[in-house]
This record gives sequence, C-alpha cells and structure tokens, in this order.
Amino acid sequence: MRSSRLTHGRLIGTLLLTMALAGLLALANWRLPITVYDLDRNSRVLSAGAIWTAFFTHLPTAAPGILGRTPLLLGLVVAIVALAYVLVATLRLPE
Amino acid sequence: MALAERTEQTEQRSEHATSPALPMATTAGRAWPRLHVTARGSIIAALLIFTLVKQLLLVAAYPPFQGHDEVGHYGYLWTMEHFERLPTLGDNMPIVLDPYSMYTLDWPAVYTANHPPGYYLLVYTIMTRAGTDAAEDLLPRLYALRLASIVPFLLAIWLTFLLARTLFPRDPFLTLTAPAAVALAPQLSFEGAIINNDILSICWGTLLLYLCASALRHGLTWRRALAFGVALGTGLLVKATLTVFLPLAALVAIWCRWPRPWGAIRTGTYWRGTLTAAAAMLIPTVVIPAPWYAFLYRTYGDFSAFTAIQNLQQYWNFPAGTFRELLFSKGFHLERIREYVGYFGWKLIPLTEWQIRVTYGALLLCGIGLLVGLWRVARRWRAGQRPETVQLAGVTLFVVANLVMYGAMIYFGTMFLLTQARYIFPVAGATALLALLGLRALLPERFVRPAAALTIAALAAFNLWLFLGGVLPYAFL
Repeated sequence: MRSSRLTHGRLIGTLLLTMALAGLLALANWRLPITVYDLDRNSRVLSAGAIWTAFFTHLPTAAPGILGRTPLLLGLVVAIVALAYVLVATLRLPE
Repeated sequence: MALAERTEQTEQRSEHATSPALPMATTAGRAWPRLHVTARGSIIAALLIFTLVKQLLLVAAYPPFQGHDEVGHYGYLWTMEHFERLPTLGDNMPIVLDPYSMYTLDWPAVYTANHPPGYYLLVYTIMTRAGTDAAEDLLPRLYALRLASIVPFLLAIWLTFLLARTLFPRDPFLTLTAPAAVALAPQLSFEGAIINNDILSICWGTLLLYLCASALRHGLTWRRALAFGVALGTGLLVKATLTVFLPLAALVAIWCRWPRPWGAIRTGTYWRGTLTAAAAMLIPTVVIPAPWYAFLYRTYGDFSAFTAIQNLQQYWNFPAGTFRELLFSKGFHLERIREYVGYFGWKLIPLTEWQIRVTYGALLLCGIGLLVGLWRVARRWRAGQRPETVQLAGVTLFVVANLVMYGAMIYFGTMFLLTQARYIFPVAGATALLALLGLRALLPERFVRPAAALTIAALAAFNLWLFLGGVLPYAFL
C-alpha cells in the first residue's frame, strides 16, 4: 500500500515537472535568438518564433495531410512534452 | 552437460525472464495482454514519439528531391513501375524529373541501378498508392516515400536501445543516451526523412549488431543462427555496404561456438550444435541474396557493378586518393566528421564555425573518456578484476565493426571521388555506444542520471540549433 502511494506520488511529481519543463522548452523554442546565414554567409539574428512562423506559413502544399499546418503544430506540442518527459524521467529514474 | 544444451537452456531461461514484460491479466475469464512499461521503456517510448514528430517536421522542411540521390532512387522505382523489371545503368530517368536534374550525378542515367532491390520492393506499393506517375502526383509520391523512411529510423532507435540493454543491462546512462544519440544524430535524422536505402541499411545494421550482442550474451543456438542468417541474407538485399557484416558475424559465431573447455571438441553434441548453427546461418545468407547477385553478374559481369559505375562516371570521377593517402589525410577525416553531423544532401547547408567546434569538442571528450576507460580496465585487470567477458567481447566487436566499416569507406574512396561518411552509418548504433562509453568513463557514479539527462538535452539543443539556424532558413527564409 505504502509502496503504491510512493509510486503514485513519484508519477504525479514526474508529470508536474514534465509540464513545467515543457512550458520552459516551449518558451525557449519561441523566444530564443538564432543567428541565421544566407547563401553568401551574411548573418542576421532572428527569434526562433519568426523562423517557425516562416516554416508554418510556407509548408509544402503537395504533401499528405499529416504534413499540414494543424497536425504539425499539434505534433510540435506533443514533441515538446515528450522531450520534457524524457529529461525529467531520466533525472528521476529509480535507483 | 554438453555446451550446446547448456546454451539452449540459458537462452530459454533468459527468454522466460524477459517474458513478464507482457503478463496476461485475466478479466472475467478472458485473458488480455497487459503491458507493463518499465521506467526505461516509458522514456524510450517518449523518445520515439518525440522523434516521430521531429521526422515529420524534417520531411516537410527539406525542399523536394534535395536529399542525396532522391532523384536517382525515384528513378529506380519509376523504372520498376514502367518496365516491370529491375533497372540497369543503361536506363534513363523519367522526363518528369528533369526540373530536379541538378540533384543527380549522371543525368539522365539511373545511376542508382547498382543498388540491391530490397528497399525499393518494400516502398514500391507506398509509391504507387500515393499517386499515379503523372507530373502532378510527383510531389505527393515524394512525400509519401519520405514518410516511409521514418519507420526504419524509429526501428533503428529501438534496436539501439535493445543493443545497449543487452550488453549493459544495469547501466541507465548507456541504455538511455545511446538510442537518444541515434535519434538525435542530425545526419541520421536526415536519412530518416528522405527517399533513400541508407536508412534501411542503418536499421538492418543495428539489427545485426543487436543479434551479435544477443548471441554473445545468450549463445548461438540454431534459432538465433537462423535469425542471423535471414538478417544477413536480407541485409545483402538492402545495401551492398552490409557485406561488412559477413566477417563480423563469422567472428561472433566462432567466438560463441568456440569449444570451452577445449575437450568439448571431442563430443558429438558440440559438433551437432555447431554444424546445425553454421548451416542455419550460412544457408539463408547465401540463398536469399543469390538471385540479386546472379542478376548483377549477368548484367555487369561482376558482383558489384563498380566497373560499370566507373565507366558511367568516367568523365568526372577519379579516385579520392590511395588507401594510404586517405588514411593519413587529416582533411579527409575532418570532412567525414562534418558529414556525419551536418551538410545534408548535396552539402548545401554547411555547418557554422561554432557548430564544427562543438562537434570536435564533444568527440574529443568522448575520445579522452575512452582512453580513460581503457586505462581503468587495464589497471583493474592487473589487479585481478576482469571485466564481464560478454561486455568486453561486445565492445571489441563495436571497435572492430567501426574500423572495418571506416576502412571499407576509405577503400571505396580509392575508386570513387565521392566516398562519404554515410557509408559507415550501418554501424551507427555501435558508434553511438562507443562514444557514450567514453563519456560514461568520465562520470562519477552519483552523477549518472543527471549526466544522461544533460547529454540528451545537449543533443536535442544541437539539433534545434541546426534545424532553426540552418535547415529552415535555407528552405524557407
């Protein structure tokens, strides 16, 4: 019984930390300044959000539905949460 | 008890030991399989979900037909569709690919025709179901074929996890970071998002490595030998680079069936077990790819078609150097490291100076770690503490696999200018494990978990840096 409560508590803790880290990762994925280079190797600094916006507004039109704007945006959210879980669960891996 | 019987029983015991991962829960008289996900299993599942989305983004991000040889691979499939036979180097690409002819080597020849048909047979139906051969269906077909590459990539990651778990079952750092290193290797991810047979060869190579590790751990029974033989035979139908696994598999088989004690050689059981395993391994290895090699010999007069390729490329191709020149060329090796990490496709997305420095720095750290680890093992050995034989044999196998594969890549350069790092990708799982073993050797025991998380985070950050700083600006800004 006690062991089950401990496992349950551990899971809740992992999930809460995962959500918190996912929020941080999402924020970084939007606000991070990125240096980009053109073909002549001239550089400029853009926010990650600006680059993502350019990507999502120019997605290939001939691609199947799964490569559409909505599935990819939803996928991006899922990927951020999954990565956060990987990191948190690795840190909290039982001995 | 005879060696063969002991091995068989050990295998059965180990299989039984792993089976509780899928226990049967009885509900109202009906047995339902109940999946018990371990902590590591759930992390790998999350890693696979993350990778799936990452690959979908990459499929959409790379401009059409700009993956290396995507045009050539499509030309192969198109020839199969139109002429209902395998292509030869004398065939031409369809005119619909003309706008992408700059992304080929020998336009209009189907210069990929020397590749075995395994990959193409697997994805052929996907292509034909995605659209007709009309020009307006070209891009839907391209994206459908690109999506198909994600599956073997995910399998390669899972197999890397199994490989690490088989050799280092009690090490959370290696079992978690090795699959993550494969999932987050930028150039491997690229292969998993374009039309190419390399991704299938990476998956097959990792499967073969896993079978090697499994044989080292549990013994080479006839069943495992048969699995090995089928994997080797079908592997030879995937890509010619997988021939490197023939000597590796032979070494593992000899190691596993070596008479211990030597007296076992005088028993009939030993010979029965060994000869059965040898036949189970050898027959599928020879029989499965035989029709393809007969086709090569009939069409080109040899088993590699290298001479025919050299004739096709005689106007621009020349050897990159002699074996000795390439082996001692610093520039050659550094270029291969850069190719392993970035460049993507036709080398149109170069790495920045900082990205190259970070790559060299990480490799240097792993290299130093390997030397430290080696020194520690030697010191303990002298003190009478031998490392686990299976792990020692496994790590030795990884080193040999990498050296043989790298040597084969250099050898290819003695004939062809465009020898590339991706020719060593089939042993990517072993490369990742070796590099991370180096990192592991530098870690105090209490920091293993934070270091694993930090390593995965660093790999993910490096990917994001390349993706947002290089790939997306190249294609979309």
